[in-house]
Amino acid sequence: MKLIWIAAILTLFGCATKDVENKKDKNELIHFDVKERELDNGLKVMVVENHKLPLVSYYTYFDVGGKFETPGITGSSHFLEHMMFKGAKKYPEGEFDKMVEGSGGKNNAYTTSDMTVYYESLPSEHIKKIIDVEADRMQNLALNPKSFASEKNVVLEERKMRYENSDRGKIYFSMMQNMFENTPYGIPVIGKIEDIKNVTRDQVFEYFKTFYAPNNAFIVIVGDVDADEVLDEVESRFGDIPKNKNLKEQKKEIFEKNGGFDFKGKYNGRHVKLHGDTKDPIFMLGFKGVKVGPRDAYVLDILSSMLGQGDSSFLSEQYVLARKPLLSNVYAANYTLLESGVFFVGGQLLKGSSLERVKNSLYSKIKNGCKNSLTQRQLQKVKNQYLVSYLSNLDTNQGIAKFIGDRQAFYGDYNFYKKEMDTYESIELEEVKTACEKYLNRKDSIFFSIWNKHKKQ
Amino acid sequence: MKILTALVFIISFGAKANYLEDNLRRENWNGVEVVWLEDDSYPIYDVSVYFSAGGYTDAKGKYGETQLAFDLLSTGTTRYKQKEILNTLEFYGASYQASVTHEFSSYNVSGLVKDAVPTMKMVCHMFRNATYPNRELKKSVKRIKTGLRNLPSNHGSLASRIFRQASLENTGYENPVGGTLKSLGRISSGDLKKKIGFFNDEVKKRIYIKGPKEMKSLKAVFTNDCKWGSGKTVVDTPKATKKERKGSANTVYLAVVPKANQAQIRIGNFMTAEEASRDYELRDFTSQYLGGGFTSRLMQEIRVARGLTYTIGSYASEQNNYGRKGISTFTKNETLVETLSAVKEVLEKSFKEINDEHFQMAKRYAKGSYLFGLESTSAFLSNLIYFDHVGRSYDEIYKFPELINGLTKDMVKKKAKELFNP
Repeated sequence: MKLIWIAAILTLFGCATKDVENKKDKNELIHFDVKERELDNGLKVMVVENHKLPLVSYYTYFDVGGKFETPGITGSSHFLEHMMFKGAKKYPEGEFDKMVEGSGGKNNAYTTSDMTVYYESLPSEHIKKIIDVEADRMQNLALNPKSFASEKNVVLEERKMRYENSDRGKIYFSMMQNMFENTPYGIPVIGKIEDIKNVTRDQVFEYFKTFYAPNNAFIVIVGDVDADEVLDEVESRFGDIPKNKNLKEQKKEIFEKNGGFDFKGKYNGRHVKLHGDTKDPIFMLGFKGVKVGPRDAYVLDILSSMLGQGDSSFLSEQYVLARKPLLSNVYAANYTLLESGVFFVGGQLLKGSSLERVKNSLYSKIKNGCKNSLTQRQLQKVKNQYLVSYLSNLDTNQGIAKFIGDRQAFYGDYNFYKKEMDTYESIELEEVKTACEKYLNRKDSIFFSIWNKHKKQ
Repeated sequence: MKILTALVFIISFGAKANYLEDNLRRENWNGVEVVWLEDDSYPIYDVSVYFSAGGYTDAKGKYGETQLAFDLLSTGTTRYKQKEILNTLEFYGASYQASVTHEFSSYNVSGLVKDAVPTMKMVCHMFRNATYPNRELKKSVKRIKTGLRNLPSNHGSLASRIFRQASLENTGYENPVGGTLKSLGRISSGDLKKKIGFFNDEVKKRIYIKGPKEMKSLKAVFTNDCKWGSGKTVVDTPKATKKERKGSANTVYLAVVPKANQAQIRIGNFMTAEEASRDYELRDFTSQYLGGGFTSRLMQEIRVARGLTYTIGSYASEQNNYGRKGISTFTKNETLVETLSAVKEVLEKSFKEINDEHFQMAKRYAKGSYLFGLESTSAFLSNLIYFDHVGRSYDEIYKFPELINGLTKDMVKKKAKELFNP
C-alpha cells in the first residue's frame, strides 16, 4: 500500500493528556506517496495509490474563475462548468453522465472566483474510460446551441435559488460585491442576470479556448490504481492537446482591464441595508483581509476561529451565551483568495435586539476582546480543532484528492500541508492580538444587514 | 464476517480484500451491546450511542422535549457551568451532537483518540448530572424560536417544513421532533431532567465506535461514568395507517412569499408502516430511477431537456413505522404549471414503459452509489445504526447488488405507480 498513514498519536498542536511525549515528528502524521508527472504541454498530474477499496477519485483543477471575467461575460466560468457536462466530440451530450452514473459513480463540479474544479468518484476499473472522457472534453467541447440556450435557464434558476430567494445568499452576494468593489473579486461568480441571458456561444467558446488549456490545469487521481500505468494513460490521452502559449499575457491583460486586486471600495464602517424576508435582522461585518500565503493569512485564520468558531468562542460567549444575549448565532471566518481576502463576522439578531446597538458594540467588543480576553488556552484549543479537521477530511479518496488538489491550487505545492501545519503550530498569541489590531478596524470595514424592515431598493 | 465480502461484491464483483471485515466486532460492555469498527488509519475516533426511543416520547404539547434534553446537556451540571463544559470539550477539538427522530435517538461524539477518555468522561458527566438551568433553557428556546420565526427567509426550508407537516398530518408523526413555536415554551427544566433520566436508566442502548485499539479504554468510562447498563425499554411508536389520515391526497397547499421570483415545489405523501416495511430495495431503486441522479428520468426531462429547474429529486425513505415519499424541485413562477405538467408526464410515462438502457444504467448506478454511501467509515457506522434500528441484518449489505439485479421493469413500473401516482 503506497498511501502511507502513519497514525502516531502525537503532540501535534499541543497535548491535553500525558501520553504524548516521545512521539514522532508531526509531519509523520500525514504522508502521501505522490507520483507526479508534468507533460510537455504543461499539464501536471498527481497520483496517489490507495488500495483500501476498489474505488478511485479523479479531480481536475482549472485555473479559471469569476475573477477572469470581463464586463458582458460575467458568469462565464460557472456557465462553462455547466456546459462541460453537455457533450464533446467523442462523447456527445449525455454520454458523460451515463458513463459515470452507469458505472456506479458520481460526479460534480464547482466554480469559485479563483478556480473551477471537476470531480468524479467511481469503481477503479473505469479509470481509463474517465481519463478518455476528460481528455475529450478538455479539447473538443461541443457547446451545442440548443443545450447552450436551455442551460441558461438552468443557471438563472440556480441564481434565484442561491441568491435571489435566500436572505443569507443575498447578504453574502452583497458583501462580496461591496468589499471587492471594482476589483475582479467583486464580479459575482454566478454572473449578472443580463450577462447570463446575453452571453453568446462564440464568447463562451473563446473563453473555453483560452482557459481550458492543459497548461492551465492539473489532475489529481487517488485510489486503487497503478500510478505508473495511470500516468502513462493520462500522457497518451492528454499529451497531444496543445498548450495556450499566450496564457500568461492574456491573464495579465484581463486583470489589468478588471482593475487589479487592491481594495477600491468605500469602507469606513458604512452600513449597507438590504430588504429581505427575515423578521430578525441578519448581519455580516466585512473587513479587508489578506490573500493566501503570507503569515498574516494563517494568523487571521486562527483569529477568526478564536473569535467565532464554536460555542466557546469569544463572540459566542459575548453575544449568544451571555446573560442577556443579543444574537441567536454568531460566527467569524477568514476567506483567503489567491489575490486578496476578506475577514467577516456574521450572525442573526434575537427578537428585540437593536441592530444599531449590535453594529456599534461589535467593533468595540472585538477590539477590547482581542486586547484583553484572548488566552493561550483558546489559541491551543483552535490548534487542536484544526488537527481534528485535517484528519477528518482524509477518510475517502475524494477527501484525499481534494486535500492534495487544494494545496496544489493555492500554494503550487501539494506537499504544502506540512508547512501549513507547522505555520499554524508556530503562531503565538501576541501575533493574533497584533493582527486583530491591524486588520479589524472600522475604517477598513463595511457592515451589511438584511431585514424585512429595511426599505426596498 | 460478511461485511467485507459485501463491499467487495458491491464494488466490483470479486475485486480485492477489504479491511472492514477483519475489523468489525461486537462486544458487550456492562450489558450494552457495542459495535466496534477498529480503524487505526488516523488518531481520530467516532462514537455514536444509539437510544431505542426518540421524539415520539415527548409529552403532549411539549414537542421538542427529547431534542432539547440532548441539545442542552452542556448548559450546566451539578459540578460545572456551561462555559466550563464548552471550554473543556472544544479544547479537545471534540464534536458532539445529538440526532433525534421520532423512533430513535443517537448522541455522536468525535475527536482525537488521545483525548477520547477525558472527552467521554465529560459527556457521561453531562448525561448523569445535567441540571438544565432555567436561564439557559429560556435563552436556548429563544434562539430556536428565532430560527423558526425566520423560516420565510429561506424559501426551500419553508416549503419543506410545510410539506412535512401536511404530509404527516394525523399520522402521529406530524409534530416535528425539534418542536414548534408554541410547544417549546411549555418545556421546563424539570421536564428535561426527567427525560434524560429516562434515557439514562430505562432506554435500551447500543454503542457504535470507530477508532483504534485504544478505544477499548472507553469500556471503563461507559461502565463507571455513564453507568449505562442493560436498559430494557424500547419505545414502540404507532404504525402509520391509511385510515388515520384525514386530508385528501391531492390537497394543494400554497404558501405565499411576496416578491419571490421562484416557486418551491414539494409533492408527495406519507407511507404507511406496511408500505415502509416491505420491498425496501425496490422502493429505493424506483425513487432513484425516477429522481436519484443526473441520469434519472425527472432530471433528464425537467432540467436537461426543458431547462425548467436547477435540480429535481425524488425519494422514498422510511423508519420502522412510517415513511415519506416525495418529489422536490423549484422553478420560476411563470413555469410552475409547465413544470408540474412535465413531472406528471414523466411519472405517468414511467408507469407504462421503461427503456431498457435507462433501466440497466439505473441498476448500475444504484449499486455503485450504495457503495459510495459506505466509503467513509463514519457513514458506514450510520448505516449500521440504521440497519440495527429497522432490524435489518448486516448481510443485507451483501445482498443489495443481488437484490437490485433481481428487479424487473414490471416491478419498477408497478412500484412507481404505487409510490408516485399523482
